[in-house]
Amino acid sequence: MTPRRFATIISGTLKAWGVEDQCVLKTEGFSCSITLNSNVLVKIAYEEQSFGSIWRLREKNQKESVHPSVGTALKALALILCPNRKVGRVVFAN
Amino acid sequence: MKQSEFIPLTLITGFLGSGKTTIIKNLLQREELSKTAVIINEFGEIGLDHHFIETSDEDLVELSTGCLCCVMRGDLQEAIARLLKKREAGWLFDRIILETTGMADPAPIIQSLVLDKISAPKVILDRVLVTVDSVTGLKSISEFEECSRQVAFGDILLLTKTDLVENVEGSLEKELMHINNNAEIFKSDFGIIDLELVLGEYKRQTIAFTENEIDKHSHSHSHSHSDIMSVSLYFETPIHAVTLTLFLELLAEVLGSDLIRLKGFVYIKEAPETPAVVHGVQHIFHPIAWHQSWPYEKKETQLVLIGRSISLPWVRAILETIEEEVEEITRQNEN
Repeated sequence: MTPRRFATIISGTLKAWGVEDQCVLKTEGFSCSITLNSNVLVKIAYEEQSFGSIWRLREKNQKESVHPSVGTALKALALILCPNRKVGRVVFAN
Repeated sequence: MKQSEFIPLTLITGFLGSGKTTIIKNLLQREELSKTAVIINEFGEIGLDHHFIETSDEDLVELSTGCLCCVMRGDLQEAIARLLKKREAGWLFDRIILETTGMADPAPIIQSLVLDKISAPKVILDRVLVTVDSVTGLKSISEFEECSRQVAFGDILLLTKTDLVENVEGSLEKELMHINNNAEIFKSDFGIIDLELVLGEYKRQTIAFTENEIDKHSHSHSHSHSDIMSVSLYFETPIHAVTLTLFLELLAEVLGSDLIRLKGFVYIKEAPETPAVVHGVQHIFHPIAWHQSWPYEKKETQLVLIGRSISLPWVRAILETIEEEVEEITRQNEN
């Protein structure tokens, strides 16, 4: 992971969800904050530990959640930023 | 005579008045397509299109109670079942052409064909031909989502009525490439097309774009008439098989219905000589198949994604990160 890739993942996700224009994204190194109407909605941090990489999400007034992969981190972020967005589930045809 | 286990189905779609029926009519006059069954989906109480197709009633099934993509998927299965029954009784057709309505969204139709587990012999979607009116195509794309979506699903895009215009194809072709840079574009004068486009070996597995062209397409988004666009991902490093599954799941999860189509080859670490063939329509994917050898010189993942709000750097970053995570776990397991 690089700081640039970290920023790309977060900004690209906001774009995919159509919320990039409503939010202000501030990134610094491996952390960022997403602000809406001057209120910080969520802070995200990526860390590399001895046992592997983790993603920390701290939603305003909520306990921090820790995720072992980019997939679970973005799933949790979706519940904060756009809980009503319909998600797709991959189906493999036989 | 032994009947084939598979029957190829050619899906012909295209916006209202773009010339689908004329092309089918001309195709059916060719000797090579004499054993072709036709399914026509007409919208409205009075279906007219089938009257323009000169074929015997036996060869043609008309669906006129609604648009296939909306409510008629069951009817499509039934129509195919009816045709297969006739085949059992001795009418040996070897190909099906399915014409959609001009306002159809091809996605549910394609999904229905991909997910069909009933029909035997199996009817397989061979290719999707999309007719685009050279005169009105640009306007239709900018004004009608249906038109853009049809282009997005095309394997072959047919510019029709080219005999009526001069120098329009340039901007239209540019727009078509922006929406779907993996399709091949051909022109059709007076509704006549090369038979190879229907019967020839389809180069589904080829993604023939250079890096410069990819950049051009990726950056031309703001000039587009449609918000649907395609991005091409080239990835040189082989990835673990499980990375591919996690990657597809994450794309479906984040992009939802904005992911319209995904196809290409994936360079898998566990099978470096046989690229994995990936082909998905929205969240429905064909089973992963393995191509016998690399269809292009370089071993690398080449994927085309068509949809809305898809950023190429984001797709690359996601794939790189998932592969790193999988590599990390694999390394830990080995120690």
